Amino acid sequence: MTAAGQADACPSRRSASNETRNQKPETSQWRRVIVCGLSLSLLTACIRQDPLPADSGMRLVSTAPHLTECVCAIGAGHLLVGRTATCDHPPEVVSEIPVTGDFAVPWLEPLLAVRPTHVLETVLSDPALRDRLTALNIPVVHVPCTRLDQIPDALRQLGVLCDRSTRANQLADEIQSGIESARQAASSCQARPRVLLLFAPDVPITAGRNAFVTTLLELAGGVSAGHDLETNYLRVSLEWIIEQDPDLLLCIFATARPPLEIYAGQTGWRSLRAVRSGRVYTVTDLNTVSRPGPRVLDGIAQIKAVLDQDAERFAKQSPTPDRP
Amino acid sequence: MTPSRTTTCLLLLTVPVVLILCLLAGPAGFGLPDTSTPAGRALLELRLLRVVTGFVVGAALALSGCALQAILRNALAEPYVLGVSSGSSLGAALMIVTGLAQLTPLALPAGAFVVGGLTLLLVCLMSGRAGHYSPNTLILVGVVASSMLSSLLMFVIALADTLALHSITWWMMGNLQATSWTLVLIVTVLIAISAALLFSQTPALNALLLGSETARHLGVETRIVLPLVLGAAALATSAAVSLAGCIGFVGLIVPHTLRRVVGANHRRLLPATTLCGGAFLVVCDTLARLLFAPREIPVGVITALSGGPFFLHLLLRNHETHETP
Repeated sequence: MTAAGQADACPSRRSASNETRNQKPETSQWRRVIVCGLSLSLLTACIRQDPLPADSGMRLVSTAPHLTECVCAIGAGHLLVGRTATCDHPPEVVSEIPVTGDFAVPWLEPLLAVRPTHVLETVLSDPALRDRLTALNIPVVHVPCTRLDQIPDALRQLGVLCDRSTRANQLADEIQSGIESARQAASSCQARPRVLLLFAPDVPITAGRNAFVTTLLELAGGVSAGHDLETNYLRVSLEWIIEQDPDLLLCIFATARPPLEIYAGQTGWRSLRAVRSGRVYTVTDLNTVSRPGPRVLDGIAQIKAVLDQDAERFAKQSPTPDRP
Repeated sequence: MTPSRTTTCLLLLTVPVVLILCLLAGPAGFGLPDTSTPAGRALLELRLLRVVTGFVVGAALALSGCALQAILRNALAEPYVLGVSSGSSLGAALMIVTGLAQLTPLALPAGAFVVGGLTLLLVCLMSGRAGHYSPNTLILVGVVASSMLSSLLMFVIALADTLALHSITWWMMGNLQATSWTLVLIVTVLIAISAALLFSQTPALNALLLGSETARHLGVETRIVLPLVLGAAALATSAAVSLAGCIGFVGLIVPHTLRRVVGANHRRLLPATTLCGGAFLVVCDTLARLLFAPREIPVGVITALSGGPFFLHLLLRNHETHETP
C-alpha cells in the first residue's frame, strides 16, 4: 500500500487531527485575549491616577519627615501626595500617602507618577535634582528647617504656600513662646547636669554645640558634654569621654536592650561615673528630639522629664561633682 | 651576624619600644595616666586594650597576607583576596540588620567570623575540585565570590534603616575599640593557633615560592600543605576581621616591606611580619586617635593612606618589570 493509500485508509484519524490543529489556534487565541485583558486591567490599575485634592490644585511631595510633620500640623496634610519612607507622623495621615523617596533622596519615577505641583525640600542629597524637576515644570520649594530657630519661619512659609497662614502663624507663635519660656526656665536652673548625647550603640558618636539635639538639651536644663565641639555630629574617642566624665548619658537611638546594659559590659564605658551610678537614659520618642518639626516642644519636655527623673533619683548627690 | 639577622634583632628591640610609646599617647595627653584615680585607671585599661587589639589584629593580617603571597605566588595577594572581608562584612551586616548584634556583644564578631570562614571554605572547595589548588583559580574564584558577596551586602544595606546603615558603615571602616578583654582573648587564641600552624610550615612555604611542582619534587606534600596554610591564613583573617572590621593594606604592605628588609626566607620573614604588622597597626591607630582629637578617624583611613601609594608603586614597578625585556 502506498503512502497515499495509507492516508486515505484512515480518514477519521486525519479529520480528527485536522480538528485538533484547527482547535489549537482558537484556544491559544482565547488564551491570548484573556492574558491581554488581564494585563490591560492590571496596567490600568497601576497607572490609575488619584483624583486631585478638592480644595485646590496643589499636590505636594515632601522630601523630609519633619517637613511632612509641618505640613500636617498646619492642617494641609491632605495636600500631600508623596512622602519619604521615614515619614511616620501623624500616622493616620502618612499611612494614606504613597512613598516617593527616602529622606533627601526623592526617587524620580515614583515622584513623577504622583504628579506633584510642588516638591518641598530642606536638603537634597543631589542638588542637580532641583534643576531636573524645575525643567519638568515642578517647582522645588526650599524650606530652611534644620535648626530650632528656623522652625517657626518654616511653618509660616508653608502656611503661605498652602494657604493655611492663620493656623501656621498660630502654631509658629506657640512654638516661639514655648521655646522662650523653656529658655527662661533653663537659665534660672541652678543645677545643670553635664549630659553626653550618644547616637549609636556601637560607636561613640556625639553632638557638638550647634546640633539640634544639643539645643533642645540646653533648653531642657542640661549642659552638653560636647559643648566645646564645633562639628554637629562626630565620632569621638572613648578616651575623651572618660576625660569628660559626664553626669549622665542620654542615648538618642533605638535599642532592644536597656541602654545601661550596653555600656555596663564594655571596657572603658563601665568606668564612667554615669554608668557606675546607673545614670544612662533614653527618650521615649526619638523622633521628637531629632526632628526640627512642630513637635519640638514635646522633644524639650521629654528631655526635661529625663533630667527631672534623674535629679529625683540622685537628689542627694551633687549634680556637678568634682571631676577627677 | 648576617645583616638580615642584625635587622631582625633590631626589629625585635624596636617593636616593644614603639608599643610602649603608643600606650603612653592619647587624646588625654602624653604620659602614663594617673592610676590613683578611677578615671586614670580607666584610661590606662582602655589604652592597653586598644594597643593589644591593634597588635593582635595587625599581626594576624600581616601574617596571613605573607602566607597567602607565598602560596598564591602573587605579589598583590592580601588577606582579603579570597573574599573573607566581603563574607565577614555580610555576616556583620546581617547581625546588625536582624538586631542580633544588639542582644549580645558576641553576636556581631561571631556572625562576621562564621560567614567569613564559610566564604573561604566555599572558595577553597570550588577552586580545589580538580584535586589541586591552582593559584590563579583560587584568586579568580575569590574575586568572583567577593563581588557576589559585596552585591549581597549592598542589597542588605539598601534595605537597612538609618541606624543599621550607620552601624554597618562604621563596622566596615574598622574599629580597634574592642568591647571586652574576653573577646580579645578569644580572638588572640584563634590567631595564635593559626600563627603556630603557619610557623610550622615555613620550610614548605619557602619551597612553594619555587612553584608547587618544584615544591612537590622537594618533598612538600602540597595537597596537605596548601589547604592547611589557606585554612590557617583564613582563620587568622576571619578572627581579626570579626574583632576589628575590615582594615585594609596591612596584609599587603607589611609583608612586602619586610621581605626587602629581612629577606624572603620565611623562617625570619613570618615572625618579623607578625611583629611589625602588629606594631604598624598600633602606630596607625595611635595616629587615628591623635590627629584630630577628640574626633577619632577610622584607622582604615590611615592604613589606606599610607598603603595606597605603596600599592600603586608596587603595581607600577611590577608593570615596568614585565614590560622590560
